[in-house]
Amino acid sequence: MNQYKEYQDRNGNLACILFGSKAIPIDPANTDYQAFLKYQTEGGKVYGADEEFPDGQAADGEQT
Amino acid sequence: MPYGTLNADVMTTSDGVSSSGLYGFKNRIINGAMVIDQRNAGASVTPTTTANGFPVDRFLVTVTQNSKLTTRQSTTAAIGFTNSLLITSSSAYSITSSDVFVIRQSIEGFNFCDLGFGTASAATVTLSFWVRSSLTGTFGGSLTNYAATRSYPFTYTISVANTWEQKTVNITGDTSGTWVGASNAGTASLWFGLGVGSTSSGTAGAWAAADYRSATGATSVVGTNGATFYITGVQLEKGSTATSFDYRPYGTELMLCQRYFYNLVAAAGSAASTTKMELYYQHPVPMRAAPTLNIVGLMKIEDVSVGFLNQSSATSTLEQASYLGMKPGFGNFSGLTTNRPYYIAATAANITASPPTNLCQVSAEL
Repeated sequence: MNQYKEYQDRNGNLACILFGSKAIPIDPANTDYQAFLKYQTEGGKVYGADEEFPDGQAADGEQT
Repeated sequence: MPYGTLNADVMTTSDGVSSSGLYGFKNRIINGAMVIDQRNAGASVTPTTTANGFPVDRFLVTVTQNSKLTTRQSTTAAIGFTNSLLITSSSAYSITSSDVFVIRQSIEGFNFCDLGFGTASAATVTLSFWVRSSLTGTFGGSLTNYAATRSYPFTYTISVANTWEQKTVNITGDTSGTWVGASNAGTASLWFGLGVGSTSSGTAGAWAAADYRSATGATSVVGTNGATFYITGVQLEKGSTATSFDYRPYGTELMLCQRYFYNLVAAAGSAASTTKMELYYQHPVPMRAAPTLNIVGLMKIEDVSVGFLNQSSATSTLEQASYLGMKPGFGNFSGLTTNRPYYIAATAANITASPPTNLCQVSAEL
């Protein structure tokens, strides 16, 4: 199950999306970011960078 | 024919070299000779439903069932080529109506917009490629817009098993649908079917307002255990004539691929904390878009006074990113000295391993 985390820079601004071992930029032309937006639009939960995932839910995703 | 020939579509020299439209860089496909494989260095890839695979740069293999095929760069190639993309079936699987096993390359708007697709002046294009399979029969593929709302399924016949054959497909330009113009977004996708169910298959030889990845009735490669399917020399060009393959210098082809993907193996930065290194870094070539980072293995960095340090687990962040450069961060180290310089240090062994490991993949693929 896909699990996304929002990562904020030291100024508290959204800097990227974390997805497993991936760091996804905030760029509408990036296809991983497009997939994140689609997931979010469909009601998918997005975690904070320091939040733990519920037990048994590991991040996964397509190979870049 | 001592001085060659010339007609409206193609100039052919006396020794068989031909040029469409009398210009270079005629091939809209990147890495059509399958020579660049930055991700795997020739290692086998097993695509899954959640992790599609790039057996060579720019060519993606997607599946709807796991464990039905493997794919890799091969050194078996048609005369005049050194590499091909190989698909090997892992079972005798009967596809369902919704199954889609395909090879795909998507094309960026900047590299396709002059063809005028989606307008009344859409140009005819010609697809050519070399193919070899343990199977014979009618095979299929499709040219679609990137949104897959317009499709042109096509067929080709493999007549003799285990023998290289060159195939040519003429495709009339699509005067309808939405095709992205001059931009970095995807505008078109070329598909080769390896087993495509009826839902995603359509009538060959005509444009349809549908998402078809292959032609109705095409042979399923995944239907025969151990079946092999090789392809190389893929070229999509303007005009109605297939011309000689557009060989480009290796370094040029590599840079074209690096607009979409490269491995970050060496760079200098400094510790932002005791656990994290950050750096500013310029991509080797401007990328299609701001890229995604993905750690393969664990990042290794060097402290010149201490030696090599490894991440405890793979993680990366992007403090800033654009198509020109980025400011990545690599955490999960321990004992770093804040503000001290550190060096990303993938070794030659990391880079040449098959597949390469302990490095950061940088991707702006379509």
